[in-house]
Amino acid sequence: MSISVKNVSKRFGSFQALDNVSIEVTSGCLLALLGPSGCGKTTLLRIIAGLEIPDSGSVRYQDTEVTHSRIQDRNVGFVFQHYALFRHMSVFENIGFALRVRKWSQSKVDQRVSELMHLVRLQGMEDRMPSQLSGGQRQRVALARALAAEPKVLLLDEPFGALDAKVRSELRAWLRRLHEEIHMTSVFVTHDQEDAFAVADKVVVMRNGRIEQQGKPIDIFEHPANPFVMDFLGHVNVFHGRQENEVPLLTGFRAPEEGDDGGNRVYVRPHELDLYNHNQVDGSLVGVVIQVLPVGGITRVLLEDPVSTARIQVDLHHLRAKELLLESGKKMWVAPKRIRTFEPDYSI
Amino acid sequence: MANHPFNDSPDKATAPDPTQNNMVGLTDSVGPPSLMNCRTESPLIQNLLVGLAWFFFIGILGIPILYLFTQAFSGGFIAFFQSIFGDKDTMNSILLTLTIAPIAVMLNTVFGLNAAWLLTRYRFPGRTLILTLIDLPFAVSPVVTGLCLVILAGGRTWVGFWLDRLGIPFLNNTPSMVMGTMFVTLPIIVRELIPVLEEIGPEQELAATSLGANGRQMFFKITLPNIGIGLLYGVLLCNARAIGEFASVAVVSGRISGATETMPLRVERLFQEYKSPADFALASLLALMAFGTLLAKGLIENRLNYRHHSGKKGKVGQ
Repeated sequence: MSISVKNVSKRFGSFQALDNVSIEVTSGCLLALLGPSGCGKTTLLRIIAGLEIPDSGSVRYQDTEVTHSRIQDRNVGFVFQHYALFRHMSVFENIGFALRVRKWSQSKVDQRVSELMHLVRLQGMEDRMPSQLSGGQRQRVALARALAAEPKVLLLDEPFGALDAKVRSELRAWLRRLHEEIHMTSVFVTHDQEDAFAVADKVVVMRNGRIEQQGKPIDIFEHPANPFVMDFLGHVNVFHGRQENEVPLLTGFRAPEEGDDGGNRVYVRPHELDLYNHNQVDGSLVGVVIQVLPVGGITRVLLEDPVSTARIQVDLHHLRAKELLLESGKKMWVAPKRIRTFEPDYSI
Repeated sequence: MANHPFNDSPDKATAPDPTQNNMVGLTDSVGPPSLMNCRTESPLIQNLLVGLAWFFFIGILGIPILYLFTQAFSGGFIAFFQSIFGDKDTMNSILLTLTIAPIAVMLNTVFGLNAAWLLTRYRFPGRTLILTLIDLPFAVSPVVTGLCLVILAGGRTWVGFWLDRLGIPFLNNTPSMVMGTMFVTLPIIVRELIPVLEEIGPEQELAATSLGANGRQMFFKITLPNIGIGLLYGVLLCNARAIGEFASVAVVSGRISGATETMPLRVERLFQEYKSPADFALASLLALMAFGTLLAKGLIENRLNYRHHSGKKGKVGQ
């Protein structure tokens, strides 16, 4: 079941939550709506679900126009941000709720629920109350509950938002596997780029009610359309510089308070910079090491330009960092392996 | 189980039993470290405050009620029962109260659920005004309420005209007494439900809707079980207040002995007529009804808590 959103706009008072947004979700695709808070991603999800009605534009499921139909008539599975489990019902009752309101027979409910309990790996927990479950388990109950009535699409609002880092990464991998098992058209909302990149087939990056970029995760990461997307997907250093005969050159640090000043700004990811003890590469700059942080396989180095006090971050392989004998206060030469430039009408 | 504010009732929160606490100069007993046991006041101030609390509790509540019961039973049990069940007018007043209170409570429950739902789940123009006005019956003297009804339903208004024309007995009759009682107890259930509904939030209801539940299923399977204890508390409190309502009913009822006299009105008449201990007997019955209400509330609350904690085994929708 594909989803097609066409020219949807939504306004809350004077706040333009969505401004002429169109997206296509092909059948079986897992799509992530990614953006900072207030970018309209949740509103878009709610419009797809039928929890909000757009001011203009249309929503279609496959060939059916559903813009104005209510959520209970759309047969969607919706997983709420904080799961919204029914607190007074056991896990079994929660998962079976959609079947009960559809008047399924007890034996069919039993069968379907045990099927789902197996799918979400919660066998044996039928009689637990939601308050007796961990965050990850609650999330899986919410998912099983949403899947119970065999919805045509699955919508998830910040599915990993309330979990700690470890559970979060486990659930990401699990959700991805689950999606490969059931192949249901799914849309989820997140403000965390790692969530989006680890799980989704397609990512839509949003800002201020508009779509900034959409595409495959790898394409977006490798070819961000503008500085906003680039910055949102991870840390980025901004320099003055240019590309000369395929050679990336840095011509100066960009002071923290410096405004938008035309087109000679270049953007470099921390892992796309290298450090040297001597001035051995063209277009490199001198910075003073102020902090060295070993983070697993990489070493994160913070440098400062003593003149402008601009700070930059460099991620080195830990062996490379060892080789350089880094320490605070040491002067190092910073050289780019790759730089990006964007049209000057954007800024971050 | 943080599903209801009343579960964190103050008697559980103030951990140490006040009878043991510092009345004889002892400091807090051994126990798990809790902020409740941290005191910054000096022992003198502590003892003073605890003593004050007990003074008010015993002096204002305890002694008068104790005195009431002693007086009621001063002639023995037989005299007590005789003064209540032997008097036709007194029996009539009990029956009337047992008619008016349930009707008023029932209507207020329906109103309270609707109003609380509307006020918590929707934002609409005039919402704040309604939230303020809903407390009006708490602020306005019940006598004023009664007078309002008398003026409104009196012969000179179109309401009174139509009541008369259609032959509906209103003033000096049960309907007006129910209405007076309702007006006075109107905010109780709404006020109990609003915080509970706000606390559970709309998410579970939205979830139920997204799973295909219609409005009726959502209300009975999700909303009602979640607000259950709050609603119960409101209903019982409303009931206690409705049974005891005096002033508004006194004004609209016309106080006809054996016809439009409720229990509180009867108590007052017996008192005026120096019919002691009959007046104390009926008054103690009123007090017992209130105690019964509170006891019922406590018992049901305990039971619900127990079921909640043990995690009942069962299937959906039972």
